[in-house]
Amino acid sequence: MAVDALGADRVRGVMLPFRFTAQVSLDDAAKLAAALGIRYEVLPIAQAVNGFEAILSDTFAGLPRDITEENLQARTRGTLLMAISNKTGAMVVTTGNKSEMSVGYATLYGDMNGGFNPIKDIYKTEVFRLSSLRNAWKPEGALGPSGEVIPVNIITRPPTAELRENQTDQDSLPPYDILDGILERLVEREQPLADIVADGFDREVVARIDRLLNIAEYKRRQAAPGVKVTRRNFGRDRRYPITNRFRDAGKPLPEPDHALVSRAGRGSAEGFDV
Amino acid sequence: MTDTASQFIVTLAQLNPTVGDVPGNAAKARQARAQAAADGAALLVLPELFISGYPPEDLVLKPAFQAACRAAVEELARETADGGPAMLVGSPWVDGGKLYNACALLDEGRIAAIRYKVNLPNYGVFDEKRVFARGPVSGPITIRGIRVGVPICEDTWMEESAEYENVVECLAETGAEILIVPNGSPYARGKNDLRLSISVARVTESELPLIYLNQVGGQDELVFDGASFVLNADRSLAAQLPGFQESITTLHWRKGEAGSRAITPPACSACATMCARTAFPACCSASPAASIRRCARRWRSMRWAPTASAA
Repeated sequence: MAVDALGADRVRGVMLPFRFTAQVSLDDAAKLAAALGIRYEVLPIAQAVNGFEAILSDTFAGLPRDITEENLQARTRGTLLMAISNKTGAMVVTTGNKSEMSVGYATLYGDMNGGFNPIKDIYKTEVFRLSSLRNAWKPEGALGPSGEVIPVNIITRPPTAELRENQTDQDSLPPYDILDGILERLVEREQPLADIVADGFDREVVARIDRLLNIAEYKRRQAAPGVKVTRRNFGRDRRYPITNRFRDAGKPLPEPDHALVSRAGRGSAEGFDV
Repeated sequence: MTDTASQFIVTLAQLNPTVGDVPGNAAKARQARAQAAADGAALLVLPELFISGYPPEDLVLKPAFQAACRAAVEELARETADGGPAMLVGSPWVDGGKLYNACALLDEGRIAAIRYKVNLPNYGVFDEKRVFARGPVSGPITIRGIRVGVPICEDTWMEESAEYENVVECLAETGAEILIVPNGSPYARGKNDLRLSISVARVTESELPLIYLNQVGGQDELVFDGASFVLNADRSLAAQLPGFQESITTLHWRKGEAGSRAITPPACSACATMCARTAFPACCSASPAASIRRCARRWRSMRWAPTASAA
């Protein structure tokens, strides 16, 4: 999208591999950069990650390795990208799609770094479809090359954050077609959990996604802006409180007890019971 | 002491709700009502949108949340069948397919009346027009024989204009004897003076006493300082609740001789002399001795100093 909008000479790709980065990822990234005709560089991050871990070794003494060390990789990448941005004046384009932004599957001050997110309001399944579409068709006026600009392997390969050995997104999230189905109902339609379950989704999965959606609000509030394309985007459209203790228990909604309300009690023109 | 018909005992619950915590907020309301009952109050007042927490922003558009709020209000309404104090509590309310910023009177096991916010603020940190429908201008609510006007927050804030209904004027003209204003008013430097001058203006125009009740606590980038206050019809400050802390305060009101519309304290005969002398007539009464102590303390710390909550 950046190349189509700005032209290849104004876009650069930076690959930031660590030991969990598969060779196929490096190969795909190089192929993508070549197909787009953009400047491409590879900056291994091991030295920086190891440096951070060394600095933190006393502070973290006795504590197990966990998601902290995974996020440290993302934050190292974020720091390096921002340094390049700072030095060159180029804006970092951040890439969390709507599925990821919904459930907080993005690292704050890591891969969430950036000035703009063109796919912020596009679900993951739509990102795949749009990628395939772009390979088959170039919009009029797009500055990028025609043809297969996105290696098909990037589209067909199971998504992975590559923050630990053999990790895939589906380790911690339901398959994206199911996730997106649930999110569309929660975010855009505000459906009660009971209705989503009635649509055939697993009750526990729906409850877990609803929880993730709620607790990720603090991240989204700090996220880069992006283009709205759905009925309800994050940012201008869906303005939820960060502090929000409401959790839909998934039970059928209680019917209002109209008999409890006194007839003349309503606020209205009739409300002048002088 | 005065006869009960000319007495009106009101408990103000300056509390800290949590947005989204419907059962927790309802529990706080319940607890405050027990305190109000112990104080012999006829009415407990809670801040604006207390059941949902304020401001609920787009959470309030969620049907499951709207239903949960309503169910909690209904449950509290049923509990008032115990003959204890009535309760004025704020909640989002769906009526005829529209969502209102409402305040419900719960009494004798029923939702005895409901009033909707008319003037919706849509500036600064407020965007209530985004989520709420504008309510109709309505008359006062009769609570235990007293005609109470319930303008909600912004309903007291503006002069009449193309956009703003003069809710207070309407309430005064239709026989309100007192104004009880539930608020969700975020803190800003100098805000206290602004609230007071707005409220004094409404009291001057309507010649009615006014209870300004605000919530306390933080919500995302807003902080609510409480600092609720009560103005007598003569514009004197009848009570000042503390800033940045919860407070449940019970006030005794008595009808004065000046006119049938005005309810003027003092209620507490034991300290009437002192109250009259200090222009501080609305006082809490537990035992006469406690009242005297409290009044003396308030007299010393009058105007903006925090005051103790009721026994």
